[in-house]
Amino acid sequence: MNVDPSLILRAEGVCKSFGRLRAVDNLSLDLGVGETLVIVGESGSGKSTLLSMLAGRQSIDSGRLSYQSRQGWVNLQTLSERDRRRLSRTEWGFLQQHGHEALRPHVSAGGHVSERLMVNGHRHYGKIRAEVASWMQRVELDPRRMDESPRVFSGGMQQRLRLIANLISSPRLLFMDEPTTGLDVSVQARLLDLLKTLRAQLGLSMILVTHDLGVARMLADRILVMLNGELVEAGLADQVLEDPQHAYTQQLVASSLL
Amino acid sequence: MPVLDIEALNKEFVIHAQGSQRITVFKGLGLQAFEGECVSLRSPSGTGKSSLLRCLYGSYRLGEGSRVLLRKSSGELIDLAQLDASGWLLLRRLDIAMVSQFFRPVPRVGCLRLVTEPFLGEGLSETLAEQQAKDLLRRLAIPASLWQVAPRTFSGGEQQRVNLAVALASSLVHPRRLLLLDEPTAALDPENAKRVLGLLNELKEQGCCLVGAFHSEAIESGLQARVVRLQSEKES
Repeated sequence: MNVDPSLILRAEGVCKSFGRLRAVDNLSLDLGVGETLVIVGESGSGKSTLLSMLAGRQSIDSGRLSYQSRQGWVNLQTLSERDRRRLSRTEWGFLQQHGHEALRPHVSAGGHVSERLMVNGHRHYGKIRAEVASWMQRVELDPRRMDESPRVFSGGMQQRLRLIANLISSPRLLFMDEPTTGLDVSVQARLLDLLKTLRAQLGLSMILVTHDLGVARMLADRILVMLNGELVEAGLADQVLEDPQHAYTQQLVASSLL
Repeated sequence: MPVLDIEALNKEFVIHAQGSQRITVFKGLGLQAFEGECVSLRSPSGTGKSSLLRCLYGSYRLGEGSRVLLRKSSGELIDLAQLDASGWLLLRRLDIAMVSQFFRPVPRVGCLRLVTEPFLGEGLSETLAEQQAKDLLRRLAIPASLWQVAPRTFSGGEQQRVNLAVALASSLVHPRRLLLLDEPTAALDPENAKRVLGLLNELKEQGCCLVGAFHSEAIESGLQARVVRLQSEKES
């Protein structure tokens, strides 16, 4: 088993096919503790599939996925469903694309945010509300709107709700799929700044996929570039953006607005 | 014993969009730089000053056969050509810093906050970090009325000074071995250039080794720099 204490997640030779399509082809990666890894690539490159496999939301055909939990290294394939669910609500956060779809209109904004606390055994109503209010303030949401339906929140506010619903249980590892896509630029900037601050304050490790190189530049320690299910380039964020090696990365960087 | 000993630096770019055209920037370049010294790279634009600085910071990958030795604060001698990503990240946290030509701050964040963050990164308390950030901004003559404003709307000279403040902040807490400067004063008037000079000289006196491209003889003499002319591979 892995022993490197500086790593939190490791994928070795991971493969996934859908019928004849190889969505992820023999892919390996390491994520360091406190590190932010950004996976870039165009639509259909397999990056979202990879992310959901890393988070145990989708099975893999072959390879190996390991995660260093608070209790030590675990093999994510042989982990029971029960243990995986426990990990995903106590140690992980997963911010999916189109966050609004994950919000249920009949559950209040505060109800979504406090869900993890309840599941993890918190029972004191007043304390839970205070906790929710303090998290809402941290992301500049008005705590007085706690009891409203998320339907009356804007897209950017819904995304922030989803984020704090994930962060309230103090996860160690945050998975994000296109966290800023579809947000207007001003909300996008606010969210990026928030993620940077929380990373510094909580020592979060993050792995996110995006097709936006500007987001990658702001957040990434390292960038991985995916094309047709394969990893074609990996390096320091500035290395990949300023000295791209692979033809596809060069094209991607040359096409970027930033 | 030099802080930086470039025994051989090779760098070429392969441009795939142009039929895998190869552009050689450096072939066997050599350079030494010492503790408390400033080396000024001089050559016409486009001949590799920025490329050299980026190679030394790891933004550009070092070409095959390169051997670039750096003596770390810990006394350990390492070859930059052998570093992996985590090695570079560690080196940037402890031993090297760079002031780049381009300033790309997180949008919408006020400049005081931007300058406070590196101080926090060095382990200072929130109060102390903010205090230091204010001192540094004052020193670089950024008026207090601008502290809460994001620098996107600042003048070129103001942006450059905020860029310097962000890049140099951590070195003021823990001096770095090597400081790389890519035209740090290009947009500054003489008064502000003098303020920056004072800051750089202070770091130099603490033993920091400065390597930079300055495009200014006034700055070179202000830093008592040793001028090194780069030979362009493109011409030869």
